[in-house]
Amino acid sequence: MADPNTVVHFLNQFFGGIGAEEQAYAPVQEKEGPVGPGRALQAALGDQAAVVSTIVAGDNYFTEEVESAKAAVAEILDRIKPDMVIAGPAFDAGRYGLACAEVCRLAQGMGIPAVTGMFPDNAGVLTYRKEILAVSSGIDISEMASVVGRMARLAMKLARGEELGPASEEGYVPRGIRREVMHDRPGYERAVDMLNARLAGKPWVSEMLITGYDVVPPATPLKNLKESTIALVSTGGLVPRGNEDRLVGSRAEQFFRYSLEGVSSLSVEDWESVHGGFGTLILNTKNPNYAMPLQTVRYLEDTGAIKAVYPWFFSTTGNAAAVSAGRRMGAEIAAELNEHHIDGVLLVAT
Amino acid sequence: MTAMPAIPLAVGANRVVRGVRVSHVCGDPALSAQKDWELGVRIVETALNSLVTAVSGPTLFEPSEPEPQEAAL
Amino acid sequence: MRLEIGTFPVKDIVLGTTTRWADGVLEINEDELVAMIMEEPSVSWAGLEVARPGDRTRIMEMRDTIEPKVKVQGPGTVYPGISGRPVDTVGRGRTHRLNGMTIIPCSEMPRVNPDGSHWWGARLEGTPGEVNYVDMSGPGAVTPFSSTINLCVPMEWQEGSYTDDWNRVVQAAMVKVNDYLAQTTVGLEPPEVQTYDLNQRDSSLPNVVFVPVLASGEYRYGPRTSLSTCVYGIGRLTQPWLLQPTEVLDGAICGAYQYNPTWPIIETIVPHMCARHGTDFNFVGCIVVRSNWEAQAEKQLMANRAAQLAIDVGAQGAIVTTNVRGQRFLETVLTVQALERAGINTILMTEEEDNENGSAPPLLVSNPELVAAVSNGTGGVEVTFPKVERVIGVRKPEPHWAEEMGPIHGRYGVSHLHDFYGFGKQGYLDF
Repeated sequence: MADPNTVVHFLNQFFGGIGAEEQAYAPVQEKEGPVGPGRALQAALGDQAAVVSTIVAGDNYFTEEVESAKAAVAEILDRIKPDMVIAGPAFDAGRYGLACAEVCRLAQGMGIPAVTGMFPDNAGVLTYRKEILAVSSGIDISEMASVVGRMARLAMKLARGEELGPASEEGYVPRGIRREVMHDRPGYERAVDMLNARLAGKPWVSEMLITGYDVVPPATPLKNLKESTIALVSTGGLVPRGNEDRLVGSRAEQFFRYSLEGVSSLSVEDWESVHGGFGTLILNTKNPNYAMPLQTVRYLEDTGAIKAVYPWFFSTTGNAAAVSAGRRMGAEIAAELNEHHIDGVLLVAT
Repeated sequence: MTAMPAIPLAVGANRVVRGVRVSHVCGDPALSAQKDWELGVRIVETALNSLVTAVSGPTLFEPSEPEPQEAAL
Repeated sequence: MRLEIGTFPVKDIVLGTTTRWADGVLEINEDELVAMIMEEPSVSWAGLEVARPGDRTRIMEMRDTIEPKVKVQGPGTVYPGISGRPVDTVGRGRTHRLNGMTIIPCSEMPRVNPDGSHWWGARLEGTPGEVNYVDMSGPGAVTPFSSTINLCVPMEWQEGSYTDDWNRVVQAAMVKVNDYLAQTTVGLEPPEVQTYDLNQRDSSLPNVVFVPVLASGEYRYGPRTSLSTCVYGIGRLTQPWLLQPTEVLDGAICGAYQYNPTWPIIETIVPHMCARHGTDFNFVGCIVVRSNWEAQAEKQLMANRAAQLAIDVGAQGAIVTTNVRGQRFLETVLTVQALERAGINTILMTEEEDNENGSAPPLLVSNPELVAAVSNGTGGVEVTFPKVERVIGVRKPEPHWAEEMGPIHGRYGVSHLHDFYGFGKQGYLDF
């Protein structure tokens, strides 16, 4: 029979048996063989794998001295060269979860497959969701045996190079990667089944985990509008009449820059909207300024409320654009505006 | 600046100003030319004021109400 | 309401010299039917083509898809309200249907309307668009219409036609063909009868509603447009409609919105939920929410009213669907939110956005109340669609339509399946 896979197990100070909160600053240390929950882990792994060493570190130490901690762990892993690393489970302990996530990332960076376990809302998941494979646990450590059993099973799958099934089936925390699957029955039957389960108070699992929205640190406020130069951007599909640049009405990948030199207002004669996602009649026959308020902004410039308007207007169509295209266009516009030290942007989204 | 603030607020835009309608975000052609203009000024001023306001996350700014008119004597 | 559905299976369609249904074969007097369609002066040409499962055939320029039906007992006509049909309330009595087949009117569309509004995508030639075709065989034969026998009715307009006008002509032809074919079942005993007696309620079972959020074409084409999914012929933006599920089975919701046809709205989840009435739950209503409102307050109001209607009918559970993504998806998630806040267990079933390798969320916008969702995938079909022998849909199809077509990566604006009602087994899950 093949040699058992070697496993290094990571635990915090409490589960590693060196103490409780008072040992939260304990530096990285090594113990031989399985320790504490590691014994349950070893039992679950059976003779397929052997926990040869346990790394223990204090929660606070790991999160506050993360570089030193990682260096110490890397040294141990480099010496032992285990087939797998298993960290935790951390349940809902946030510092522990972050530490487990760091250990897993480190191991993976060294080419060693890694599995951890924690509650889906643990900071370790929220910070490193895409990068770690975490078995889903509750918050109650009394389920240790079952969580550890699932971690062992998943770890062995990784060790055997087997492809993982969907998160909901294999019991791990979704990593935000979504792929097509073939169910055994049509969507409308699954919808009714899910409704029935909810109504009956039976367990059910949503087919979608809604995450992935950006959190963007807000720009610091401007000090003084009167000293500020403002740039204008619109996703309303505004172009000079005739659309020589051929801005598309949907699925835009590009934006265009149009000169505002000497232009104090957008006129119906000179401008039109090619946006395919809403009724553009009003913009095209009454007043394009509704989708890019140049006339108003010029008035405020004239009265000194703002210092100046950036002479280039950025235009694209915000209709079915890919998120990646939007991110890229935004970054390109921002880069140009930063180069010219523009203070603020008004962006009209139709 | 949008007639649909829920969307930019959901996707991480930090300063969001409510406009009128999708097809005319920065004004209202149903109003008289004068009132439409005044509404447009209020919307843009709200937007500019948001740039000098500190925010900690996605924040909705509502354009201010018009000043109450003095009754004609 | 109580509705009996008499099902007449159609195993083959034969174009010949008589019109009748017998033993699963529908014979159609081709000349007579084409002449009827061409009675409308703006039709310059019309044809009939049969596309069978397994054919090396591709159908394109589909303008809508319906199953032929006729009311044999009870008030009203099927597909009420559109094309000037009576608006009598339907959903009671008995309706016959020719099952296993569809009617698919096909036509290119004139690009403009007199007021200057454009057919979708018509503004700019050459922009990559949605791919709108059905393969009857091969790895791309994954829509429900790859498994039905489709009577395609390609049509051409006279010079100078406008988009909305021509659409009305196409719709009129579609219901004319419907009535003509379904008439063959009148007076015959259906091989199979299903009874949906929604009047019987079991007080030990929970009450549920189906809440389809349906985009209106009003924002683009005005309130009286035919380019909209309609309820009893009304396509404009209105507050939510409360319908009996059997009204939907009789076609009270009818009309394509862009490339979203009628058939899936009527023939998938609604009959399935009707069949579960009395076993899993009491199916107490369909609440149609119109979307494409232009201001968030209006969208919020529609969601609030939908939730209030659900409360008024005593719903404890709801399944919400949508039919187009984009900013009109906001109506959908606000509706889910309003229902959940009213204490109603809600499932959202929808197609989702392209994951973009883990960097984009599955839905444009969401809220914390949206906890239960069924995903029908992104609408993409990532296979190579092989060369075909026959292309149906226009009189002279361009040669490239018969060629191999590349895989379609689903995302907003590019959905091959438009599977909003869950007819398929494909889905998307987290890994």
